[in-house]
Amino acid sequence: MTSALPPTDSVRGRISGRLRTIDQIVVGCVLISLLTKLHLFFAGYLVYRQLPLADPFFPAILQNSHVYLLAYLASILITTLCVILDGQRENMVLRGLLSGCLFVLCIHQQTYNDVTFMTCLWTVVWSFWLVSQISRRPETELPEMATTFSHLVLSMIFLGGAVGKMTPGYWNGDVLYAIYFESRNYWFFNSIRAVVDEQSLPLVACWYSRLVIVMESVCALLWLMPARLASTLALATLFGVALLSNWYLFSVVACLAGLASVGLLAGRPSGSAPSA
Amino acid sequence: MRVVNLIRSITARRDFGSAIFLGVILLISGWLIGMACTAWVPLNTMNRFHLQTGSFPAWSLQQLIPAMYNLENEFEFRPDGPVPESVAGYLRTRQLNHFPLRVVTFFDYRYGMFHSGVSGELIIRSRYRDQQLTTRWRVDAFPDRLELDFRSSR
Repeated sequence: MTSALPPTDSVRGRISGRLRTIDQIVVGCVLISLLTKLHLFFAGYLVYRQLPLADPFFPAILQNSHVYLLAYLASILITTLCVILDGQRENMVLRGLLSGCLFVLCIHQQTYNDVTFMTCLWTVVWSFWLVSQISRRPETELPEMATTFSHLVLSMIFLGGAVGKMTPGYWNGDVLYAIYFESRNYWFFNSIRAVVDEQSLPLVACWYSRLVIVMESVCALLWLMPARLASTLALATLFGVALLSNWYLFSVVACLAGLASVGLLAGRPSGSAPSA
Repeated sequence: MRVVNLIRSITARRDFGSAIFLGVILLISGWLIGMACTAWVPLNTMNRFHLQTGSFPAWSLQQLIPAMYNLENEFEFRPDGPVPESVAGYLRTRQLNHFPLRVVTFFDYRYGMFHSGVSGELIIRSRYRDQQLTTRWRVDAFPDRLELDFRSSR
């Protein structure tokens, strides 16, 4: 009995085939997430050089603006190399380095608050796992595993969003009213303010906030759903949240959209494919 | 079920790498469920948001846990004296989506609030259901730097 060949040329140690393409798309989405931060990084760098902050919490090296700029530029360079290079070993090393750079950005004084680096990091960890598996498992088995892991990661991230909002300030809409509805200059909230009177605005904010909580809670269960449904729902929710909240969220969701697309690109799970 | 198939596949091949990946996801998911049904996890998250976690390594590990738009966060700034008109808008008490100390640490608020040399007391409040954490900080603006000093927590 023969199993399908893994998508790796074991002689040359190169990754190829459908899973390589999927991985390139996912890592490409990480690159999009990082590049959408470019202008903020350089603007931030100027401020941090002009007005550095001494605080009692962060180690000195993680208060240094050169460190975050280096980690950010290295992340862009390494992500680009991950898309271009196809050797399995160098791709694992690159993803390891990339995870390190993104982790630095997650804990640096000047970038720790930006969730983009946390979502990019989880996406890269998934990619590291995929590349590490690509020569170990047959092609019939890996797409289903890759899809299930992508949905588990997405479910965890949505769960994090949902549980943190399960508090009266979000359920009654007060928080999102103050952050978005009251005065945020964004097409969606400008449109709402144009058609809804001021007294009714808190009620709209309330139902908007509840919808966000419900959608995130439902998406925390992606791992229980059929793969294509889960991916489609995740993509719709990610883009919906960004489109109806603020443009800056696109950097947070772009990499996750790549992860969500795995379930659509990997095709039918092996359970429904002809058995070997 | 897909996750059962995943566990079977990991077990059959004794695939430790995949087992660790799955284990970390399950561990963090368990922590997040604890957010909704324990008092301890929300308190830890508040301490994380207020940079009050006992050690920096413990805080760093928590940065892997998704927490976007978590808790009800608010900041209030009490300047030492009169402030320029251009800064007043930034100093207005307001809600923040997450990591409320970013009003000092992140560049946009940092520049907007403090480039004119305003110093004062910063009060950060986070709430999750019936739990609340308030921390007070001193922010001193010098011509070439800012200094942030922790004062109290309750």
